[in-house]
Amino acid sequence: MSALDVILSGTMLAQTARMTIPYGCAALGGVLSERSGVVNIALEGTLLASALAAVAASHASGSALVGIAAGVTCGAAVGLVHALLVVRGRVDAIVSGIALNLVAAGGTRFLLRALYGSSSNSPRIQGLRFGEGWGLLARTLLDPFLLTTLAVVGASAWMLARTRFGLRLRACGEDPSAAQAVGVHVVGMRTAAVALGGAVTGLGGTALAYDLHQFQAGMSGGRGFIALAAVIVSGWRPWPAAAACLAFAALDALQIVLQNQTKLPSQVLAMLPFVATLVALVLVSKRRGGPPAGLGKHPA
Amino acid sequence: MKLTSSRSLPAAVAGLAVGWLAFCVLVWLYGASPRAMAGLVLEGTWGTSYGAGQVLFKATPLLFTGIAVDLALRAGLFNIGAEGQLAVGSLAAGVIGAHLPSGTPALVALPLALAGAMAAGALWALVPALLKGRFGAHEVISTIMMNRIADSAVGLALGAGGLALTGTVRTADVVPGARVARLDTWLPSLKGSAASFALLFGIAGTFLVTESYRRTRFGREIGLIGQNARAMAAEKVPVRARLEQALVVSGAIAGAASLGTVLGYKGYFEEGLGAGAGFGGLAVAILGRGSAVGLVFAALLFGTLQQGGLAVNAFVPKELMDVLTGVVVCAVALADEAIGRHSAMARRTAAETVVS
Amino acid sequence: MVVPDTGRVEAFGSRLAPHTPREAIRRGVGMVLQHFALVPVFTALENIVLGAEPVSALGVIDLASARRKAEAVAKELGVDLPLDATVESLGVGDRQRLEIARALFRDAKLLILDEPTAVLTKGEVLALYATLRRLADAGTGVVVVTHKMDEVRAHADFVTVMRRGEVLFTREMDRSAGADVDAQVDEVTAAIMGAGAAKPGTRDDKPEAATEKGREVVLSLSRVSVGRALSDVSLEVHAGEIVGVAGVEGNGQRELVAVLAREVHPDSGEVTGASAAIIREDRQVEGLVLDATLRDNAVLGELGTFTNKVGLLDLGALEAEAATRIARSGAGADLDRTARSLSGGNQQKVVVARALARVGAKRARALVAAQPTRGVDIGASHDIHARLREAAAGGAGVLILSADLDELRALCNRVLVLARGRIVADLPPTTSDEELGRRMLGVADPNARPEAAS
Repeated sequence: MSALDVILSGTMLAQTARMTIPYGCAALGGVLSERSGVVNIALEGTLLASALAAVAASHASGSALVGIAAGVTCGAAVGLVHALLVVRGRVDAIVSGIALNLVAAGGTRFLLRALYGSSSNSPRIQGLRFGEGWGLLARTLLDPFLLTTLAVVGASAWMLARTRFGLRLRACGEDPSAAQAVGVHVVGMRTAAVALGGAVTGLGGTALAYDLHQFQAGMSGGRGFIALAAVIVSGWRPWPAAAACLAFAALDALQIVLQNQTKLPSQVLAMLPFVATLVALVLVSKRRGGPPAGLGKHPA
Repeated sequence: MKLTSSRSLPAAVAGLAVGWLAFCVLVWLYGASPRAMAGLVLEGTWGTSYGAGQVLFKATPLLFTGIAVDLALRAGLFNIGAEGQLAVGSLAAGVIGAHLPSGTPALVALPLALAGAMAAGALWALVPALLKGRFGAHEVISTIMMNRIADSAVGLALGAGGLALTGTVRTADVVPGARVARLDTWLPSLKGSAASFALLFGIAGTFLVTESYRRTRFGREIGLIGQNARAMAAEKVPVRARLEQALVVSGAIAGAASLGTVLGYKGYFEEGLGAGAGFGGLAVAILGRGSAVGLVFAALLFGTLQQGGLAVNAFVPKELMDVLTGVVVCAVALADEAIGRHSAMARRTAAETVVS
Repeated sequence: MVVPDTGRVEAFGSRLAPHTPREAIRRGVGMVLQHFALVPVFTALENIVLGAEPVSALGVIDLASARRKAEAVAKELGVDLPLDATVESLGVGDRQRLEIARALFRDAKLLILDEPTAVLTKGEVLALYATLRRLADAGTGVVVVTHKMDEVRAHADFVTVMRRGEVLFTREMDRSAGADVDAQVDEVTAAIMGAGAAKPGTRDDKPEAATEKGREVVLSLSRVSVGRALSDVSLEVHAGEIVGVAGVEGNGQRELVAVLAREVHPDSGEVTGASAAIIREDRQVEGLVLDATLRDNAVLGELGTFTNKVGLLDLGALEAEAATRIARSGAGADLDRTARSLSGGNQQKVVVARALARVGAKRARALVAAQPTRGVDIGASHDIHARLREAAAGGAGVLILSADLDELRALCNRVLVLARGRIVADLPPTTSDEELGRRMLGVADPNARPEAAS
C-alpha cells in the first residue's frame, strides 16, 4: 500500500476519531475554564490523573462504568483544586497549573507502584465493551465515547449560549467587575466552571486509558497542551475547538499510521503535532477572536 | 537591591512545612513509617559523603535551570521550556566537545563547548521569544511545544543526523580539555560521586546573575518591566525587545546546565541525560525567588529530594518526591499570596496614617 | 460597593443590610455608574438580563419574555433600544440608556446616575433629561450627580451641594414665575467653588509667577483633534512661561497629555516642539513602579545614561543622581524604600523631581504636569509648586493641567480653560473663581454670543 492509500484508509479515520476524544475533551475543559476567566494549563495533568483513576477503579470493581465515573470525578477534583488555588487563593494560574501537572505526573507513577508494583504500566483492563463483531466504520462512528464527547461539546455550546448559567459564566470571563456589580457571584461561578471543565477533561482521560486498555506512565503525551492551543486557535468556542482537535488528532494518527510507510524517521512524524501547534499560534495572532477580556483578572 | 526578599522567607518556611506534612501523609498511606523513611532520606543524602556528593551532583543542573527560570520570571515571563533548552544545549556541548582537536587545552575547549551549549539553548528559546514578541503567542504553550520538539529533534540528530556513535544513542566522548573535573579530585571524601566543579560554576553563576539584576541595565530593566510594564513603556523603555531578550538569555543559561551533566559527569551526551532538570528548575525558581542564597538553597533542597528518592525507592516509590515538589510549589505560592496580601493591608494602613 | 465606616444607609425606610450591590438592587435602587457595568461583547438584551434572567426549563433563559419586558421598559422610557446590537457597537448615549433600562428592568424605584453627561453630546444630554423627566413624572426617584451647572439650571427640582466630603446644603429650586433661577444657580456655583469658605493652610497667593516670558515657543498644539475627546485644540507655551489648563476631569485632559507625550497621533492638526518631560496623572500606574525602590524610580527609564559600553551600570553615578533627585524632592532620604511605602504626596514629589531633573539637564525644554498635586497634602503641594516655578525660571515652558483653581492662580501666567474637549477661554490668573468656575462648568459667558457657549 502506498502512503496515500494508507492515509485515506479506514484505519486512519478510526485512529483519528479515537484520538479526537482526549484532545476534544481536554480542549472543552479548557474552553469552559477560560471562558469563565481562569487560565487552566493543568489539562495535561488532569488527563493523566483521570486516566489512572479510571483504570484503577475499573480494575478494582470490574466495571467499566465505575471506571468512567471515577475518571470524571477525578478530573473534577483536579479542577476544583486549581479553582480554589487560583480563584480563592489568588495564586498565579500558571504556577498552579505547573504544580498540578507535576503532582499528577509524579503522583500517577507513585500510585502505579503503590497499586500494581510497576513503574510504567498498569495491568490490562477491558475498557468499554462495545460493538463486538461490527465493522470498523460502525465501531468508530458509534463509539460511545465519541458520541458522548460530541454530545458534551454540543451541550456546552448550547449551555454557554442559551442558559442562565452560561450567560453568567461568560460574563465572569468577559468583565468580572461588571458581573460582580450586577450581582453575579464571580468566585462561585468560576469555581463551578473550572470544576466542570475538569470533569469533562476527565472523560477524555478515561477514554484515553480505555483506548489503550491500560494506564501507561506519561500517556497523555503533551495532548493537554496541544488542546490548550486548540482552545486558543478556535477563539475559545466549543465546536471550533473540537474541529481544531480533529485536525491535531489527524496529525497524531498520521504519525502512527505512516510509521512503516515512509522513509522519514519516526521523530519527524512525532514532531508534527507540536510544530503544527506553533504554526497555528502564529496564524491566529492577527485574528479578531481574542481571549475573554477578563481572562486572568479578578473582580475589582 | 537586597539579596533576600523579606517576604519570601516565611512563605518558603510555610511551604516546606506543608511539604513535610505531605511527605508524612503519603509515606504513611503507602504503608511505611514516615520516621524511618525520613531517616533513610537523611542517611542517603547528607548522612554519607557519597550521598552528599550525589546531592551536589543532582543540584548542579537545577541551579542553572533555576536561575534561567528565575530570570524569565523577573521579567514576568514563564519559561517552561528549560527542559528542551537544556537538551539541545547538552547535545551541542557533547558534539562540539567531541569534535575539537584532541589536544585542545581546557582554556579553549571548555569555553567553546559551553558557548555552544548556551548558543543552542538561546536559539531554542528564540522561537518562543519571537512568537511572543511579534505574534503575541503566550510563551507557556510555545515553550512547552519546543520541549516536545526538542525530544524529537535530539533523537533525530542522534539517529538520522548521524551525531551518535553507531548503534547507540550517545555522542562520542568529548576531548579531555572540555571535561570538567569531578569534585572528588579535590575533596577525596566525595569519592565516587558524580559531583563536579560544574557546581562551583553554577554557584558562581547564580551570584553573578543575581548581581546583574542590580548592576546591569538589562537586569534592572527586566525586573522593573516585570513589576510594571506600563510605567516602563510610558518612560519609553523598549519593553517588547527586553522581553524577547530575557527569554533568549534564559534559554542560554538553561543550556549551560550541560556543564554538570555532559561535561562534568558523563563526558558525552546521551539521549535523556538531564531530563527533569527543566521542571525542577521551575520549582527552584519559585522557591528561591530572586535571591542567590535562596536559589542555591532551593537547588540543594530539590537535589536532596531527588537523591533521597533513590534512597527510599526500595520502600516507597521515588516519584513521591515529584509529588512533594508540586505540593511545595503550591504551598509556597499560596503562602506567598496570603502573606503578601496581609502585608499589603498592613502597608496600606501604615501609609494612611502617614498622610494626614 | 463601599461599606461606610460609621453611620447607616437606609433604603425606602429600612436599613440596607447586607450592604451589597445585590441587596441594593433588590430593594429597588438602581445605579448608573460613570464607568458602565456593561459587558462589551454581549448584546444589549443580554446585558439587561444579566443577573436577573427569566428562566424556563433547564435553566434556559426565556429570551422571549425578557424581550417583552425590555421592550416595555424601553417604551416607558420613551427610547428606542437596539436590543440585539452588541454593546461595543453602541454609542455612549445608547449605552447609557441601556444602563437605565437595566435598572428599570429590575424594577428600580430610585435611579442614581453618576456624571451621566460627561461623555454625551448636547443632543444626547437633552434626550437623557427628557427620559429622566418622564421617569420622574411616573413616580421614579432620580438623583443625578453632576458638576454641570447648565443642567442644574435647566432640570433640577432639588439641589444638594457637596464639597470635600461634606454636604453643605439641600435646596429646592424655585421655578415659579418671577423667580431668579440664575441667582440660585450662582449661589450653588459659589458654594461649590468655595468662595467664602476658609482656605486651609497658607498658600503663596502672589501671582509672582509672572516671570519674564521668553518669546521662544517650546511646545505648541495647532488645531489638534483626537476622536471625540479633543476638538480643534490650539495652544502655545513659551520658554519661561507657566500656562495653566483648567478643567474638570473628563473633559479631554488625558487625551491632551497623551498627544503631548507623543503617544497618540492626533486625527488632525500638529504637535510641535521638542519632547517634553511629563508628570502623568496616574502616578501609581504610569508614573512609578510601586514595588521598586526610590533609587530605581528616581531614574526610571534613564538607565541608558548610566550604562557603559559593556552594559554595566555606573552604580556610583546612578546613586549620586538618584540621591540628588530624592533629596531635592523632599520625599525623605532613604533610597532603599519602595515607592509603595511613601505617602501619596511623597510619591508625587518623586515623580516631579524626576521630571524636573530632565528639564534641568536640558534634555527637555518643556514640562507637562497633569494634576500635579492631586491627592497631595498641603505641605507637599507647596514644595511642588516651588519646583515648578523654579523650572520656569530656569527657562523651561511649563503646562499645568489642573482642576484646582487656587493652584493655577498661584502659578500661572495665564489660564486656559478646557471644557468638553475645546479650549474655551484664555484668561489672566487674576480672573475670579466664579468666572473660571463658570467656564469650567460649561456655563455660557453671559456677555458672549450664544454660539460661543461650550
